Amino acid sequence: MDKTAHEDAPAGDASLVERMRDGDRQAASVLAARYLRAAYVVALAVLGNRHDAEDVAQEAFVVAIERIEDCREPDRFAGWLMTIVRNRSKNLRNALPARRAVPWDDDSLAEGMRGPDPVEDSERREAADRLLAGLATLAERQREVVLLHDLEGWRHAEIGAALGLSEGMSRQHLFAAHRLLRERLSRTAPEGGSDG
Amino acid sequence: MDEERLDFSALDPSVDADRWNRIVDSVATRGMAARRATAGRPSVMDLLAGWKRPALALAAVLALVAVPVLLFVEPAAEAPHTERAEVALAVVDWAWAGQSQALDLLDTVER
Repeated sequence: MDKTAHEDAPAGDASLVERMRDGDRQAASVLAARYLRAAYVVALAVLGNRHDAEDVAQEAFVVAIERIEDCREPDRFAGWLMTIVRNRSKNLRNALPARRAVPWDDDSLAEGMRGPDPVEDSERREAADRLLAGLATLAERQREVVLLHDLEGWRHAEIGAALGLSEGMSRQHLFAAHRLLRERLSRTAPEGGSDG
Repeated sequence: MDEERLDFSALDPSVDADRWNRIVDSVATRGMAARRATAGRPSVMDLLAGWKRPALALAAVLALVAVPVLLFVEPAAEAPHTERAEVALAVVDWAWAGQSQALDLLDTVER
């Protein structure tokens, strides 16, 4: 199902940002519910590790709330937030010790992708591993676009606004990402099943 | 262009809705708490803004004092070298125009 909440985002976001500046915790909660997963997606595109992406997304959002006065265009809160997320993700990536290489660059992708989550069923974990292996074949910007489009349900106008792209460029990235992913996933799909 | 979505649900952190809602709630709580903690500390801009009114008041006082002084104090007599500078400029103009009066005027200035 398409996310319709984001269709009203510009006006809604500006209002929520102003309320948050006035100390309205509920406004912060609504914005977090609206954009925290998108923040995770952007962090995942940079880091390639789900658990690191969750941590960075959360910390970036906390910082964004704390420094909300720095958001000069409240109706563009999403783009401002994604910039914070991307910068923090890159800082973490650059700070990672060599022995713990970023999964996108690590040959042992499976090792980097699996996190300490024993509760996750093996089937879902294998599907996640396969998707991450496919995403590793993409450029970072392609990963951002395809995840925001396919996982978050964002339209190209919204993706472009958040990532500083034109709609046309967003479409191109998506097209290229889909082509590469389908090719990769078709080769690695388990027998009897398919991804996408 | 192919816009049909791929299934990324295996990467979706909100699949466990209860867990995700707790995370969202925690982020909002921590963020607002951080804001309250930061609000007690003035920023550099806050400090400068605090000095804005006294600085404007001082500037207003200086203007009130300076304007009458400038209005009522007679200007100093024009310095002699100013007259020579004006003559020199006139000479340059005439030289460009090819007028011989320039030499006579130079004699005048020398005397």
